[in-house]
Amino acid sequence: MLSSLPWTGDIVGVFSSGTVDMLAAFLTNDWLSDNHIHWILENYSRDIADTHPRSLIHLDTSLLTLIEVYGGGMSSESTEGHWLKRFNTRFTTGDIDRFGFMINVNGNHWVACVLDFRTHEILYGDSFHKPIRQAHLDVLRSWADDLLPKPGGHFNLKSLPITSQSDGFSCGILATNALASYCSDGVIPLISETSELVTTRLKTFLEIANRHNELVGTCIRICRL
Amino acid sequence: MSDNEHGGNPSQDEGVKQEDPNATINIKVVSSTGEEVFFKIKRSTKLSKLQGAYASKVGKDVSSIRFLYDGDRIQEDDTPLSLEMEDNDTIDVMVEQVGGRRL
Repeated sequence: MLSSLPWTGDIVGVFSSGTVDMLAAFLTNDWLSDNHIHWILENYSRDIADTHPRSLIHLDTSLLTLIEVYGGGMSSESTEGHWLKRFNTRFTTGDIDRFGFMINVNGNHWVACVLDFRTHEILYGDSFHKPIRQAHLDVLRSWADDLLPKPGGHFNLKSLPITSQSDGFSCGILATNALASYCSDGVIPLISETSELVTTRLKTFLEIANRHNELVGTCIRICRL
Repeated sequence: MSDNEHGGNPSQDEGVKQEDPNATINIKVVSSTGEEVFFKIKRSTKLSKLQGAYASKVGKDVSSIRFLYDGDRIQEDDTPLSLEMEDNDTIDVMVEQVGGRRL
């Protein structure tokens, strides 16, 4: 695979754009960027789409920031807040049981968050088991509570099961794994051993690289016809 | 970028034919700190072109910033038409995030 992959140009087959050389981060202990997290979540979403159609994984990592900027979307009368109102309607139809997304803390740490609409719980998973910041919780509650039927809908905070981090680079892998595990009812198991951190990175690399090679190969074959 | 005008408030184009790919649309690009840049582009123009123009204007590498519409990443081939964008819609810009957390 390493020799067959052209280490230049854009990656084909991912929703978030990036270049092939960025995949090298999955073969190292480098910190992961929002693009890497996006790609990991894309893979998990594909894995659970058929078995857990009522679980929704949000791929972009800026959701909390956007909710904060747009004030939850319910009270805003501005044009800019309309998209969040549209976004929120997907939860008021009752089609979604669990909604998972990632949060970047301090510009150096990835944590996972899941809204469970069955139990009215906000599940927060930090691989260092730090509590959620009050500012983040306030924004989340203010947004999430408005998604529940009135009157008196309220989300309670709970810990999301997550494997503890004992290194200085695996929070992204552990948080995305915790999110996917909860949203799949454990079909995607929680990482239990350190060696699985490496295999999870490698598996992600291979999935993206194989898809890239397959799609590029198909494109070349079509062009030659 | 030949079909955009940025740096000022957009005019309200009444009667823009939403289905006409050659019709223009006003788009506001807003950073997470609230800075706004306005573009006027054809509905069939790839938004990647707008992204490049925005990055140049703010003096950043386009790969270091993220463009979101309705909370989702804008993809390479997306156009205002394909995203069913409306006149005066907003694109949000976020900076690249990283994480690993040193012990």
